[in-house]
Amino acid sequence: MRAARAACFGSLAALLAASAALPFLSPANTFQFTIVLAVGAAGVGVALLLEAGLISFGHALFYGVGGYTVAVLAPSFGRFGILLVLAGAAAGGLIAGIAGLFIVRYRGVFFAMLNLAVSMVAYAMLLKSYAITGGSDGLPVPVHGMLGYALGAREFGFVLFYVALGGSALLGFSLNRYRQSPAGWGLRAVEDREIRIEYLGISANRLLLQAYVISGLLAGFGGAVAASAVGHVAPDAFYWTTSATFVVIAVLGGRGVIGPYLGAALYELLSIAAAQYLSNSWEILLGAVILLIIRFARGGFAGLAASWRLASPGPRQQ
Amino acid sequence: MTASPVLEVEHLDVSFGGIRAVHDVSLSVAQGEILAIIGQNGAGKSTFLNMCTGWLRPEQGEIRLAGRSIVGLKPRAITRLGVARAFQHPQLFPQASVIDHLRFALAAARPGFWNPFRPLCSPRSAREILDLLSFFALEALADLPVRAVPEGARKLLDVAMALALRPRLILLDEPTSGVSSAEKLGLMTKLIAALRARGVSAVFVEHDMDVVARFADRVAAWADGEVFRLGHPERVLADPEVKARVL
Repeated sequence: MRAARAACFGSLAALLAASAALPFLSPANTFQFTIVLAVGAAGVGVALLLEAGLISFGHALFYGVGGYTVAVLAPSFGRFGILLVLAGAAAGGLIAGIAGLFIVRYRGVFFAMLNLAVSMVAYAMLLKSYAITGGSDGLPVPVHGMLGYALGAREFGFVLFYVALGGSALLGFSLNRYRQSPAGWGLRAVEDREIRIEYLGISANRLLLQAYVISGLLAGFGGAVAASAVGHVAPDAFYWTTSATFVVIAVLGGRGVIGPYLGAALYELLSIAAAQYLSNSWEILLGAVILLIIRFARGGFAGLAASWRLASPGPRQQ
Repeated sequence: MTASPVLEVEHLDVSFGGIRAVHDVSLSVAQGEILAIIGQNGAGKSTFLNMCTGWLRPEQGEIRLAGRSIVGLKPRAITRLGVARAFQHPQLFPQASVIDHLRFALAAARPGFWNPFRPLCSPRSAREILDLLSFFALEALADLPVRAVPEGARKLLDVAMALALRPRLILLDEPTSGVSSAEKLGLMTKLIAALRARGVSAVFVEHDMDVVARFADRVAAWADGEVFRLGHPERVLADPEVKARVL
Protein backbone atom coordinates (compact mmCIF):
# COMPACT_ATOMS: atom_id res chain seq x y z
CA MET A 1 0.00 0.00 0.00
CA ARG A 2 2.69 2.46 1.05
CA ALA A 3 4.95 1.40 -1.82
CA ALA A 4 2.10 1.81 -4.31
CA ARG A 5 1.48 5.26 -2.89
CA ALA A 6 5.11 6.23 -3.17
CA ALA A 7 5.20 4.97 -6.76
CA CYS A 8 2.08 6.99 -7.50
CA PHE A 9 3.58 10.15 -6.01
CA GLY A 10 6.83 9.48 -7.87
CA SER A 11 5.17 9.16 -11.24
CA LEU A 12 3.07 12.26 -10.58
CA ALA A 13 6.16 14.26 -9.66
CA ALA A 14 7.90 12.97 -12.79
CA LEU A 15 4.92 13.94 -14.93
CA LEU A 16 4.84 17.40 -13.38
CA ALA A 17 8.59 17.85 -13.85
CA ALA A 18 8.35 16.72 -17.48
CA SER A 19 5.51 19.18 -18.07
CA ALA A 20 7.49 21.93 -16.41
CA ALA A 21 10.40 21.24 -18.76
CA LEU A 22 8.30 21.52 -21.91
CA PRO A 23 8.74 25.29 -22.52
CA PHE A 24 12.53 24.82 -22.33
CA LEU A 25 12.51 21.87 -24.71
CA SER A 26 10.32 23.64 -27.23
CA PRO A 27 9.95 27.35 -26.42
CA ALA A 28 8.12 28.05 -29.67
CA ASN A 29 5.22 25.83 -28.58
CA THR A 30 4.68 27.33 -25.13
CA PHE A 31 1.37 28.76 -26.32
CA GLN A 32 0.13 25.32 -27.41
CA PHE A 33 1.21 23.79 -24.10
CA THR A 34 -0.75 26.47 -22.26
CA ILE A 35 -3.84 25.79 -24.36
CA VAL A 36 -3.53 22.07 -23.60
CA LEU A 37 -3.62 22.90 -19.88
CA ALA A 38 -6.62 25.17 -20.41
CA VAL A 39 -8.82 22.74 -22.34
CA GLY A 40 -7.49 19.89 -20.19
CA ALA A 41 -8.84 21.58 -17.07
CA ALA A 42 -12.27 21.93 -18.69
CA GLY A 43 -12.02 18.28 -19.79
CA VAL A 44 -11.32 17.24 -16.19
CA GLY A 45 -14.49 19.09 -15.18
CA VAL A 46 -16.59 17.24 -17.74
CA ALA A 47 -14.94 13.92 -16.83
CA LEU A 48 -15.86 14.46 -13.17
CA LEU A 49 -19.56 14.57 -14.04
CA LEU A 50 -19.11 11.50 -16.25
CA GLU A 51 -18.24 9.63 -13.05
CA ALA A 52 -21.83 10.13 -11.96
CA GLY A 53 -22.98 8.92 -15.38
CA LEU A 54 -23.90 12.46 -16.45
CA ILE A 55 -22.70 14.09 -19.62
CA SER A 56 -22.64 17.85 -20.04
CA PHE A 57 -22.91 19.43 -23.46
CA GLY A 58 -22.77 22.89 -21.96
CA HIS A 59 -19.48 23.40 -20.17
CA ALA A 60 -18.51 26.03 -22.72
CA LEU A 61 -20.67 28.29 -20.56
CA PHE A 62 -18.24 28.12 -17.63
CA TYR A 63 -15.23 28.18 -19.92
CA GLY A 64 -16.59 31.34 -21.53
CA VAL A 65 -17.46 32.90 -18.20
CA GLY A 66 -13.88 32.33 -17.05
CA GLY A 67 -12.50 34.06 -20.14
CA TYR A 68 -14.89 37.02 -20.10
CA THR A 69 -14.31 37.52 -16.38
CA VAL A 70 -10.62 38.10 -17.02
CA ALA A 71 -11.42 40.36 -19.98
CA VAL A 72 -13.85 42.49 -17.96
CA LEU A 73 -11.69 42.70 -14.82
CA ALA A 74 -8.34 43.28 -16.52
CA PRO A 75 -8.79 47.03 -17.23
CA SER A 76 -9.55 47.82 -13.57
CA PHE A 77 -7.47 45.17 -11.82
CA GLY A 78 -4.57 45.09 -14.24
CA ARG A 79 -1.93 44.88 -11.52
CA PHE A 80 -3.02 41.33 -10.65
CA GLY A 81 -2.31 40.43 -14.25
CA ILE A 82 -2.10 36.70 -14.78
CA LEU A 83 -3.49 36.00 -11.33
CA LEU A 84 -6.87 37.12 -12.66
CA VAL A 85 -7.24 33.53 -13.90
CA LEU A 86 -8.19 32.75 -10.29
CA ALA A 87 -11.11 35.17 -10.57
CA GLY A 88 -12.08 33.41 -13.79
CA ALA A 89 -12.12 30.07 -11.98
CA ALA A 90 -14.20 31.50 -9.15
CA ALA A 91 -16.68 33.00 -11.61
CA GLY A 92 -16.99 29.63 -13.37
CA GLY A 93 -17.75 27.96 -10.05
CA LEU A 94 -20.21 30.69 -9.06
CA ILE A 95 -22.20 30.48 -12.30
CA ALA A 96 -22.16 26.67 -12.04
CA GLY A 97 -23.57 26.99 -8.54
CA ILE A 98 -26.46 29.11 -9.80
CA ALA A 99 -27.21 27.11 -12.97
CA GLY A 100 -26.63 23.87 -11.08
CA LEU A 101 -29.43 24.54 -8.59
CA PHE A 102 -31.79 23.86 -11.46
CA ILE A 103 -29.79 21.51 -13.70
CA VAL A 104 -28.77 18.87 -11.14
CA ARG A 105 -32.41 17.90 -10.62
CA TYR A 106 -32.30 16.13 -13.96
CA ARG A 107 -30.60 12.96 -15.12
CA GLY A 108 -29.58 11.30 -18.34
CA VAL A 109 -30.45 12.94 -21.62
CA PHE A 110 -32.35 15.76 -19.87
CA PHE A 111 -29.21 16.73 -17.97
CA ALA A 112 -27.17 16.76 -21.18
CA MET A 113 -29.73 18.81 -23.09
CA LEU A 114 -30.36 21.29 -20.27
CA ASN A 115 -26.66 22.02 -20.10
CA LEU A 116 -26.67 22.61 -23.83
CA ALA A 117 -29.76 24.82 -23.61
CA VAL A 118 -28.46 26.98 -20.77
CA SER A 119 -25.10 27.48 -22.47
CA MET A 120 -26.76 28.43 -25.76
CA VAL A 121 -29.05 30.92 -24.03
CA ALA A 122 -25.94 32.47 -22.48
CA TYR A 123 -24.32 32.52 -25.92
CA ALA A 124 -27.29 34.39 -27.42
CA MET A 125 -27.34 36.89 -24.54
CA LEU A 126 -23.65 37.46 -24.97
CA LEU A 127 -24.07 38.30 -28.65
CA LYS A 128 -26.88 40.76 -27.90
CA SER A 129 -25.31 42.66 -25.02
CA TYR A 130 -22.82 44.44 -27.22
CA ALA A 131 -22.02 47.23 -24.76
CA ILE A 132 -20.52 44.87 -22.18
CA THR A 133 -19.34 41.91 -24.20
CA GLY A 134 -18.43 43.42 -27.54
CA GLY A 135 -21.02 41.23 -29.25
CA SER A 136 -19.65 38.98 -31.95
CA ASP A 137 -16.34 40.87 -31.93
CA GLY A 138 -15.59 39.74 -28.40
CA LEU A 139 -13.26 41.60 -26.07
CA PRO A 140 -9.55 42.13 -25.81
CA VAL A 141 -7.91 40.62 -22.72
CA PRO A 142 -5.38 43.24 -21.69
CA VAL A 143 -3.32 41.08 -19.37
CA HIS A 144 0.36 41.76 -19.87
CA GLY A 145 2.08 41.07 -16.60
CA MET A 146 1.71 39.92 -13.06
CA LEU A 147 1.58 41.78 -9.74
CA GLY A 148 2.71 45.00 -11.35
CA TYR A 149 5.60 43.52 -13.34
CA ALA A 150 5.23 44.19 -17.02
CA LEU A 151 6.38 41.25 -19.08
CA GLY A 152 7.49 41.00 -22.69
CA ALA A 153 5.46 38.74 -24.96
CA ARG A 154 7.86 35.83 -24.61
CA GLU A 155 8.23 36.04 -20.83
CA PHE A 156 4.50 36.52 -20.51
CA GLY A 157 3.89 33.24 -22.34
CA PHE A 158 6.34 31.48 -20.04
CA VAL A 159 4.92 32.86 -16.81
CA LEU A 160 1.36 32.17 -17.90
CA PHE A 161 2.28 28.57 -18.68
CA TYR A 162 3.74 28.06 -15.21
CA VAL A 163 0.78 29.72 -13.52
CA ALA A 164 -1.48 27.42 -15.53
CA LEU A 165 0.63 24.40 -14.63
CA GLY A 166 0.74 25.35 -10.95
CA GLY A 167 -3.00 26.01 -10.94
CA SER A 168 -3.67 22.69 -12.66
CA ALA A 169 -1.49 20.85 -10.16
CA LEU A 170 -3.21 22.51 -7.23
CA LEU A 171 -6.69 21.90 -8.64
CA GLY A 172 -5.73 18.36 -9.60
CA PHE A 173 -4.45 17.61 -6.11
CA SER A 174 -7.58 19.05 -4.52
CA LEU A 175 -9.80 17.18 -6.93
CA ASN A 176 -8.05 13.95 -6.10
CA ARG A 177 -8.69 14.55 -2.43
CA TYR A 178 -12.33 15.26 -3.21
CA ARG A 179 -12.63 12.05 -5.23
CA GLN A 180 -11.46 10.08 -2.17
CA SER A 181 -13.82 11.90 0.20
CA PRO A 182 -17.24 10.54 1.18
CA ALA A 183 -18.97 13.02 -1.14
CA GLY A 184 -16.69 12.06 -4.04
CA TRP A 185 -17.46 8.40 -3.41
CA GLY A 186 -21.16 9.18 -3.24
CA LEU A 187 -20.93 10.95 -6.59
CA ARG A 188 -19.90 7.69 -8.27
CA ALA A 189 -22.63 5.86 -6.39
CA VAL A 190 -25.36 8.19 -7.67
CA GLU A 191 -25.33 6.40 -11.00
CA ASP A 192 -25.82 2.99 -9.40
CA ARG A 193 -28.39 3.43 -6.66
CA GLU A 194 -29.75 6.85 -5.91
CA ILE A 195 -32.41 5.45 -3.59
CA ARG A 196 -29.78 4.02 -1.24
CA ILE A 197 -28.06 7.37 -0.97
CA GLU A 198 -31.34 9.02 0.02
CA TYR A 199 -31.91 6.29 2.60
CA LEU A 200 -28.54 7.07 4.13
CA GLY A 201 -29.82 10.59 4.72
CA ILE A 202 -27.82 12.18 1.90
CA SER A 203 -29.27 14.29 -0.89
CA ALA A 204 -28.19 12.92 -4.28
CA ASN A 205 -28.92 16.30 -5.85
CA ARG A 206 -26.62 18.02 -3.41
CA LEU A 207 -23.86 15.52 -4.22
CA LEU A 208 -24.28 16.43 -7.87
CA LEU A 209 -24.41 20.17 -7.15
CA GLN A 210 -21.10 20.01 -5.31
CA ALA A 211 -19.50 18.17 -8.21
CA TYR A 212 -21.12 20.58 -10.67
CA VAL A 213 -19.62 23.60 -8.92
CA ILE A 214 -16.20 21.95 -8.90
CA SER A 215 -16.46 21.12 -12.58
CA GLY A 216 -17.61 24.68 -13.38
CA LEU A 217 -14.64 26.02 -11.45
CA LEU A 218 -12.26 23.85 -13.46
CA ALA A 219 -13.82 24.95 -16.76
CA GLY A 220 -13.72 28.59 -15.63
CA PHE A 221 -10.04 28.24 -14.82
CA GLY A 222 -9.41 26.74 -18.26
CA GLY A 223 -11.32 29.51 -20.01
CA ALA A 224 -9.46 32.20 -18.08
CA VAL A 225 -6.08 30.68 -18.95
CA ALA A 226 -7.02 30.35 -22.63
CA ALA A 227 -8.30 33.93 -22.81
CA SER A 228 -5.11 35.26 -21.18
CA ALA A 229 -2.99 33.25 -23.58
CA VAL A 230 -4.86 34.34 -26.70
CA GLY A 231 -5.28 37.94 -25.52
CA HIS A 232 -8.85 38.01 -26.77
CA VAL A 233 -12.19 36.38 -26.01
CA ALA A 234 -14.94 35.78 -28.52
CA PRO A 235 -18.42 34.30 -28.14
CA ASP A 236 -17.11 31.10 -29.77
CA ALA A 237 -15.90 30.20 -26.28
CA PHE A 238 -19.58 29.81 -25.33
CA TYR A 239 -20.63 27.97 -28.47
CA TRP A 240 -21.78 24.35 -28.25
CA THR A 241 -18.91 23.09 -30.39
CA THR A 242 -16.58 24.17 -27.58
CA SER A 243 -18.64 22.07 -25.15
CA ALA A 244 -18.41 19.14 -27.56
CA THR A 245 -14.62 19.51 -27.59
CA PHE A 246 -14.53 19.07 -23.82
CA VAL A 247 -16.68 15.97 -24.07
CA VAL A 248 -14.34 14.54 -26.70
CA ILE A 249 -11.35 15.30 -24.46
CA ALA A 250 -13.05 13.67 -21.47
CA VAL A 251 -13.78 10.57 -23.56
CA LEU A 252 -10.22 10.44 -24.90
CA GLY A 253 -8.80 10.96 -21.44
CA GLY A 254 -11.14 8.94 -19.26
CA ARG A 255 -11.87 9.32 -15.58
CA GLY A 256 -9.71 11.05 -13.06
CA VAL A 257 -7.37 13.99 -13.03
CA ILE A 258 -4.47 13.11 -15.35
CA GLY A 259 -6.37 11.38 -18.15
CA PRO A 260 -8.22 14.42 -19.50
CA TYR A 261 -4.98 16.43 -19.71
CA LEU A 262 -3.49 13.65 -21.83
CA GLY A 263 -6.72 13.68 -23.83
CA ALA A 264 -6.31 17.42 -24.35
CA ALA A 265 -2.69 16.93 -25.46
CA LEU A 266 -3.74 14.28 -27.97
CA TYR A 267 -6.56 16.49 -29.21
CA GLU A 268 -4.24 19.44 -29.67
CA LEU A 269 -1.63 17.26 -31.37
CA LEU A 270 -4.22 15.83 -33.74
CA SER A 271 -5.56 19.23 -34.63
CA ILE A 272 -2.07 20.59 -35.33
CA ALA A 273 -1.02 17.57 -37.35
CA ALA A 274 -4.29 17.54 -39.25
CA ALA A 275 -4.09 21.25 -39.96
CA GLN A 276 -0.84 20.56 -41.77
CA TYR A 277 -1.77 17.45 -43.66
CA LEU A 278 -5.55 17.30 -43.87
CA SER A 279 -6.36 21.02 -43.70
CA ASN A 280 -10.15 21.25 -43.92
CA SER A 281 -11.09 17.69 -43.12
CA TRP A 282 -9.32 17.11 -39.84
CA GLU A 283 -12.54 15.93 -38.23
CA ILE A 284 -12.04 12.67 -40.16
CA LEU A 285 -8.86 12.03 -38.21
CA LEU A 286 -10.48 13.00 -34.92
CA GLY A 287 -13.49 10.79 -35.64
CA ALA A 288 -11.23 7.84 -36.42
CA VAL A 289 -9.34 8.26 -33.15
CA ILE A 290 -12.57 8.48 -31.16
CA LEU A 291 -13.81 5.30 -32.83
CA LEU A 292 -10.58 3.52 -31.88
CA ILE A 293 -10.85 4.71 -28.28
CA ILE A 294 -14.45 3.59 -27.96
CA ARG A 295 -13.73 0.24 -29.60
CA PHE A 296 -10.49 -0.64 -27.84
CA ALA A 297 -10.11 1.58 -24.77
CA ARG A 298 -13.47 2.48 -23.30
CA GLY A 299 -11.89 4.09 -20.28
CA GLY A 300 -9.69 6.42 -22.35
CA PHE A 301 -6.13 7.06 -21.21
CA ALA A 302 -7.05 6.62 -17.58
CA GLY A 303 -8.63 3.25 -18.33
CA LEU A 304 -5.54 2.13 -20.25
CA ALA A 305 -3.27 3.15 -17.40
CA ALA A 306 -5.47 1.29 -14.91
CA SER A 307 -5.43 -1.89 -16.98
CA TRP A 308 -1.63 -1.76 -17.15
CA ARG A 309 -1.43 -1.75 -13.40
CA LEU A 310 -1.71 -5.11 -11.67
CA ALA A 311 -5.37 -5.94 -11.94
CA SER A 312 -6.89 -6.18 -8.50
CA PRO A 313 -10.53 -7.12 -7.86
CA GLY A 314 -11.01 -3.88 -5.99
CA PRO A 315 -13.80 -1.42 -6.46
CA ARG A 316 -13.92 1.25 -9.07
CA GLN A 317 -12.33 3.78 -6.79
CA GLN A 318 -8.60 3.31 -6.24
CA MET B 1 -43.70 -1.41 27.91
CA THR B 2 -44.29 1.89 29.60
CA ALA B 3 -41.79 4.01 27.66
CA SER B 4 -43.14 6.58 25.19
CA PRO B 5 -43.64 5.22 21.67
CA VAL B 6 -40.92 5.79 19.08
CA LEU B 7 -43.28 5.21 16.20
CA GLU B 8 -46.99 5.91 16.25
CA VAL B 9 -49.19 5.19 13.27
CA GLU B 10 -52.87 6.14 13.22
CA HIS B 11 -55.54 5.22 10.69
CA LEU B 12 -53.14 4.91 7.79
CA ASP B 13 -54.72 4.57 4.36
CA VAL B 14 -53.30 4.29 0.86
CA SER B 15 -54.59 2.78 -2.35
CA PHE B 16 -53.20 2.16 -5.81
CA GLY B 17 -55.67 2.56 -8.67
CA GLY B 18 -58.70 1.87 -6.50
CA ILE B 19 -57.14 -1.10 -4.71
CA ARG B 20 -56.60 -0.52 -1.02
CA ALA B 21 -53.01 -1.46 -0.28
CA VAL B 22 -53.13 -0.34 3.34
CA HIS B 23 -56.39 0.35 5.15
CA ASP B 24 -56.98 1.90 8.56
CA VAL B 25 -53.73 0.67 10.10
CA SER B 26 -52.91 1.88 13.58
CA LEU B 27 -50.01 0.64 15.67
CA SER B 28 -47.15 1.87 17.77
CA VAL B 29 -43.63 0.78 18.57
CA ALA B 30 -42.27 1.55 22.02
CA GLN B 31 -38.71 2.53 22.86
CA GLY B 32 -36.58 -0.59 22.48
CA GLU B 33 -39.49 -2.71 21.33
CA ILE B 34 -39.16 -5.22 18.50
CA LEU B 35 -42.26 -5.63 16.41
CA ALA B 36 -42.61 -8.36 13.79
CA ILE B 37 -44.88 -7.99 10.79
CA ILE B 38 -46.23 -11.16 9.23
CA GLY B 39 -48.52 -11.68 6.31
CA GLN B 40 -48.63 -13.10 2.83
CA ASN B 41 -47.13 -11.36 -0.18
CA GLY B 42 -49.26 -8.42 -1.19
CA ALA B 43 -50.67 -7.89 2.29
CA GLY B 44 -49.29 -4.33 2.35
CA LYS B 45 -46.25 -4.87 4.54
CA SER B 46 -43.67 -3.27 2.27
CA THR B 47 -46.11 -0.51 1.36
CA PHE B 48 -46.38 0.21 5.07
CA LEU B 49 -42.59 0.46 5.39
CA ASN B 50 -42.51 2.72 2.33
CA MET B 51 -44.92 5.09 4.03
CA CYS B 52 -43.03 5.09 7.31
CA THR B 53 -39.86 6.11 5.47
CA GLY B 54 -41.41 8.77 3.28
CA TRP B 55 -41.07 6.94 -0.03
CA LEU B 56 -44.85 6.88 -0.32
CA ARG B 57 -47.25 9.46 1.04
CA PRO B 58 -50.31 8.11 2.84
CA GLU B 59 -53.68 9.35 1.61
CA GLN B 60 -54.96 9.51 5.15
CA GLY B 61 -53.65 9.00 8.62
CA GLU B 62 -50.78 10.15 10.74
CA ILE B 63 -47.25 8.85 11.30
CA ARG B 64 -45.33 10.23 14.25
CA LEU B 65 -41.73 9.67 15.19
CA ALA B 66 -41.15 10.35 18.88
CA GLY B 67 -44.22 12.54 18.86
CA ARG B 68 -43.35 14.48 15.71
CA SER B 69 -45.37 14.07 12.51
CA ILE B 70 -43.25 12.83 9.61
CA VAL B 71 -45.93 12.66 6.92
CA GLY B 72 -44.73 14.52 3.85
CA LEU B 73 -41.05 14.41 4.75
CA LYS B 74 -38.59 12.97 2.23
CA PRO B 75 -36.77 9.68 2.93
CA ARG B 76 -33.51 11.46 3.65
CA ALA B 77 -35.15 13.80 6.15
CA ILE B 78 -36.75 10.86 7.93
CA THR B 79 -33.43 9.02 7.88
CA ARG B 80 -31.81 12.06 9.49
CA LEU B 81 -34.44 11.89 12.24
CA GLY B 82 -33.19 8.42 13.14
CA VAL B 83 -35.09 5.91 11.01
CA ALA B 84 -32.87 3.48 9.10
CA ARG B 85 -34.07 0.93 6.61
CA ALA B 86 -32.77 -2.28 5.10
CA PHE B 87 -34.40 -3.52 1.95
CA GLN B 88 -35.97 -6.79 0.86
CA HIS B 89 -33.74 -6.59 -2.21
CA PRO B 90 -30.50 -5.04 -0.98
CA GLN B 91 -29.87 -1.62 -2.47
CA LEU B 92 -26.11 -1.49 -2.92
CA PHE B 93 -23.49 -0.11 -5.29
CA PRO B 94 -22.35 -3.11 -7.36
CA GLN B 95 -18.89 -1.81 -8.28
CA ALA B 96 -17.82 -0.75 -4.81
CA SER B 97 -16.29 -2.95 -2.14
CA VAL B 98 -18.10 -4.22 0.94
CA ILE B 99 -15.93 -2.18 3.29
CA ASP B 100 -16.42 1.03 1.30
CA HIS B 101 -20.17 0.65 1.74
CA LEU B 102 -19.71 0.69 5.50
CA ARG B 103 -17.27 3.58 5.33
CA PHE B 104 -19.76 5.56 3.31
CA ALA B 105 -22.66 4.76 5.63
CA LEU B 106 -20.64 5.81 8.67
CA ALA B 107 -19.52 9.01 6.96
CA ALA B 108 -23.13 9.77 6.01
CA ALA B 109 -24.17 9.62 9.66
CA ARG B 110 -21.46 11.96 10.86
CA PRO B 111 -20.69 15.65 10.55
CA GLY B 112 -18.06 16.50 7.97
CA PHE B 113 -19.59 14.41 5.21
CA TRP B 114 -19.44 17.32 2.76
CA ASN B 115 -15.83 18.24 3.48
CA PRO B 116 -14.07 17.48 0.18
CA PHE B 117 -10.71 17.10 1.89
CA ARG B 118 -11.77 14.48 4.41
CA PRO B 119 -10.89 10.96 3.30
CA LEU B 120 -13.56 8.27 3.11
CA CYS B 121 -11.30 5.86 4.98
CA SER B 122 -10.77 7.96 8.05
CA PRO B 123 -8.92 6.25 10.88
CA ARG B 124 -11.58 7.53 13.28
CA SER B 125 -14.11 5.03 12.01
CA ALA B 126 -11.71 2.11 11.44
CA ARG B 127 -12.56 0.46 14.77
CA GLU B 128 -16.29 0.71 14.20
CA ILE B 129 -15.98 -0.71 10.67
CA LEU B 130 -14.00 -3.71 11.90
CA ASP B 131 -16.65 -4.32 14.55
CA LEU B 132 -19.44 -4.21 11.98
CA LEU B 133 -17.54 -6.49 9.60
CA SER B 134 -16.86 -9.08 12.27
CA PHE B 135 -20.36 -8.81 13.70
CA PHE B 136 -21.91 -9.73 10.35
CA ALA B 137 -19.07 -12.17 9.50
CA LEU B 138 -18.15 -10.13 6.43
CA GLU B 139 -14.40 -9.77 7.09
CA ALA B 140 -13.36 -12.23 4.41
CA LEU B 141 -15.42 -10.36 1.83
CA ALA B 142 -14.45 -6.86 2.91
CA ASP B 143 -12.40 -5.94 -0.16
CA LEU B 144 -14.55 -7.64 -2.76
CA PRO B 145 -16.85 -5.63 -4.98
CA VAL B 146 -20.44 -6.20 -3.96
CA ARG B 147 -21.37 -7.73 -7.31
CA ALA B 148 -19.00 -10.60 -6.48
CA VAL B 149 -20.42 -11.52 -3.06
CA PRO B 150 -23.30 -13.93 -2.42
CA GLU B 151 -26.86 -12.68 -1.97
CA GLY B 152 -26.94 -13.56 1.74
CA ALA B 153 -23.88 -11.41 2.39
CA ARG B 154 -25.45 -8.55 0.48
CA LYS B 155 -28.51 -8.69 2.70
CA LEU B 156 -26.28 -8.55 5.76
CA LEU B 157 -24.35 -5.63 4.33
CA ASP B 158 -27.61 -3.80 3.72
CA VAL B 159 -28.57 -4.34 7.37
CA ALA B 160 -25.08 -3.37 8.53
CA MET B 161 -25.34 -0.07 6.62
CA ALA B 162 -28.66 0.67 8.29
CA LEU B 163 -27.14 -0.10 11.69
CA ALA B 164 -24.11 2.07 10.95
CA LEU B 165 -26.42 5.09 10.87
CA ARG B 166 -27.03 4.57 14.60
CA PRO B 167 -30.79 4.86 14.23
CA ARG B 168 -33.36 4.90 17.00
CA LEU B 169 -35.76 2.91 14.82
CA ILE B 170 -34.72 0.35 12.25
CA LEU B 171 -37.04 -1.10 9.63
CA LEU B 172 -35.95 -4.46 8.26
CA ASP B 173 -37.69 -6.01 5.29
CA GLU B 174 -37.05 -9.76 5.57
CA PRO B 175 -33.57 -9.33 7.03
CA THR B 176 -32.57 -12.97 6.77
CA SER B 177 -34.16 -14.10 3.52
CA GLY B 178 -31.33 -15.40 1.35
CA VAL B 179 -29.29 -16.34 4.41
CA SER B 180 -29.03 -20.11 4.85
CA SER B 181 -31.39 -21.48 7.49
CA ALA B 182 -28.41 -22.85 9.43
CA GLU B 183 -26.99 -19.35 9.91
CA LYS B 184 -30.31 -17.59 10.25
CA LEU B 185 -31.00 -18.14 13.94
CA GLY B 186 -27.46 -17.38 15.01
CA LEU B 187 -27.45 -14.20 13.03
CA MET B 188 -30.84 -13.03 14.27
CA THR B 189 -29.79 -13.78 17.86
CA LYS B 190 -26.80 -11.49 17.46
CA LEU B 191 -28.70 -8.83 15.57
CA ILE B 192 -31.51 -8.64 18.11
CA ALA B 193 -29.01 -8.62 20.96
CA ALA B 194 -27.21 -5.71 19.30
CA LEU B 195 -30.47 -3.82 18.86
CA ARG B 196 -31.43 -4.42 22.49
CA ALA B 197 -27.99 -3.41 23.74
CA ARG B 198 -28.29 -0.10 21.89
CA GLY B 199 -31.95 0.42 22.78
CA VAL B 200 -32.91 0.55 19.12
CA SER B 201 -36.54 -0.13 18.29
CA ALA B 202 -37.19 -2.35 15.30
CA VAL B 203 -39.91 -3.34 12.91
CA PHE B 204 -39.14 -6.40 10.86
CA VAL B 205 -41.05 -8.22 8.17
CA GLU B 206 -40.53 -11.96 8.46
CA HIS B 207 -41.87 -15.16 6.91
CA ASP B 208 -40.08 -17.56 9.24
CA MET B 209 -42.41 -18.09 12.22
CA ASP B 210 -39.64 -19.59 14.34
CA VAL B 211 -37.74 -16.36 14.05
CA VAL B 212 -40.88 -14.35 14.86
CA ALA B 213 -41.70 -16.46 17.90
CA ARG B 214 -38.20 -16.20 19.28
CA PHE B 215 -37.32 -12.61 18.74
CA ALA B 216 -40.39 -10.39 18.51
CA ASP B 217 -41.91 -8.61 21.50
CA ARG B 218 -45.15 -8.22 19.59
CA VAL B 219 -46.48 -9.40 16.27
CA ALA B 220 -48.76 -7.64 13.82
CA ALA B 221 -50.58 -10.03 11.50
CA TRP B 222 -51.51 -8.51 8.14
CA ALA B 223 -53.98 -9.51 5.47
CA ASP B 224 -55.52 -7.48 2.65
CA GLY B 225 -53.85 -4.27 3.78
CA GLU B 226 -55.13 -4.45 7.36
CA VAL B 227 -53.67 -5.42 10.69
CA PHE B 228 -56.16 -7.95 12.01
CA ARG B 229 -54.21 -9.23 15.01
CA LEU B 230 -51.66 -7.44 17.16
CA GLY B 231 -50.13 -8.79 20.32
CA HIS B 232 -47.77 -11.20 22.00
CA PRO B 233 -46.22 -13.72 19.56
CA GLU B 234 -47.50 -16.78 21.39
CA ARG B 235 -51.07 -15.61 21.29
CA VAL B 236 -51.01 -14.24 17.74
CA LEU B 237 -49.29 -17.25 16.22
CA ALA B 238 -51.72 -19.62 17.95
CA ASP B 239 -54.76 -17.68 16.74
CA PRO B 240 -56.86 -19.77 14.33
CA GLU B 241 -57.58 -16.81 12.06
CA VAL B 242 -53.85 -16.02 11.81
CA LYS B 243 -53.21 -19.65 10.96
CA ALA B 244 -55.84 -19.49 8.24
CA ARG B 245 -54.97 -16.12 6.70
CA VAL B 246 -51.18 -15.96 7.16
CA LEU B 247 -49.73 -19.41 7.67
